[in-house]
Amino acid sequence: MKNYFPILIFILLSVGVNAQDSCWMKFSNWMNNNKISIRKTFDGSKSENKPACFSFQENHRSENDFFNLDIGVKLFELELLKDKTSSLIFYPKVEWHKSADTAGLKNKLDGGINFEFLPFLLKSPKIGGLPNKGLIVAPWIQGTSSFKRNFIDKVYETRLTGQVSFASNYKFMPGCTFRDKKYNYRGIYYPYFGIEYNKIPDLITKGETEEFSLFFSRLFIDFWFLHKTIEMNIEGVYRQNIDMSSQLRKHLPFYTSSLYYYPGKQEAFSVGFEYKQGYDSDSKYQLVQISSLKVNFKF
Amino acid sequence: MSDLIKQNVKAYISSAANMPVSEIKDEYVLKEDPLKLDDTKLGFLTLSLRGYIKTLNPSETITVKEIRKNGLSVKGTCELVVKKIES
Repeated sequence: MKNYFPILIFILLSVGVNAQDSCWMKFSNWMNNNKISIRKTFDGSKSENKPACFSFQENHRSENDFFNLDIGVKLFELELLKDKTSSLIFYPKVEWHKSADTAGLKNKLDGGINFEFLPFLLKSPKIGGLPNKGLIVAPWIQGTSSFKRNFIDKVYETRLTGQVSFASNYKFMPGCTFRDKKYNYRGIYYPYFGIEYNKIPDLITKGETEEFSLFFSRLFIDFWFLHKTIEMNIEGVYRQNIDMSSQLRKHLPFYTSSLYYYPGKQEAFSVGFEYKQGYDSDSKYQLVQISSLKVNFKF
Repeated sequence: MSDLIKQNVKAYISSAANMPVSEIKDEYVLKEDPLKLDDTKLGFLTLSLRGYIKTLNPSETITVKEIRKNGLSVKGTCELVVKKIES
């Protein structure tokens, strides 16, 4: 299968280069008009901005090479507090994550409702006499719920997450875009702090359900080496098991870095390379070390 | 009046995107390069624009959904705010 992947990438690159006036764009517009979004996931991380992904992966901890599929669909949004200085949005999502790794087969269908809460206004620098109330660095809060059907183990898994991050319009602060001298977009970073609750059957011992909570901190960095062409993402997560009764290990670090190439200076399609290492929440907190070649598409 | 509103909306967009107002062009799309405002920044931008609209027309508002709409340009945002203020 490995031999077919470069051919597949070549074909999809051709599709991507011609994306501006292809049926790809028509489909994208149809999705926009119907307020449907497709991404890699809607798990509350900055992966929400990452495209849905089809990848060919190499597992460094076994001799397996395998295909992987990650698709998340946001169906619609319910916005509350429309007249206030805050914003609260709920949205249902459906996700499908499939992996053909024989060392960790995955086939999960995931549904849930997420929310996003912006409690305060954000102050703007150099805005003159215009209304400009708010904080220099403002928090924003996300909650996610995931009720997953694991078709491999034939069990249901639950994950609830609450997290806070911060944004600012001031230079060098989180969420403030950094640019070069020509004002080209170069990147952004966001820190996160949160708690997640998990209920996962057969996690450590067959027939037993593990229920545990984790504190986590995460740092996400997006950086463009080459304007509109080569993007790098780095994401580091440190999770700590705060449930002493759980058999899961206490410290669960996880690191991902990826490099994407966008052909034809468009933003809907890319190919890339990703490396991840650590205790992966998507692989039942097992230690993983995986490299991937990826094909990404965003609507 | 509408020219002044458009100028002010551009000032909010320039602040959210960390770009000088003089570099903000009408045809730029909020979510796309070079502005590249993500959903978080667009949410906060909405709250700022909402505050601005309410100082001039308290009965009107603007929603996050309207500002996060795919393909929304700077020009489209200005026109949306002008419409709400002058309605």
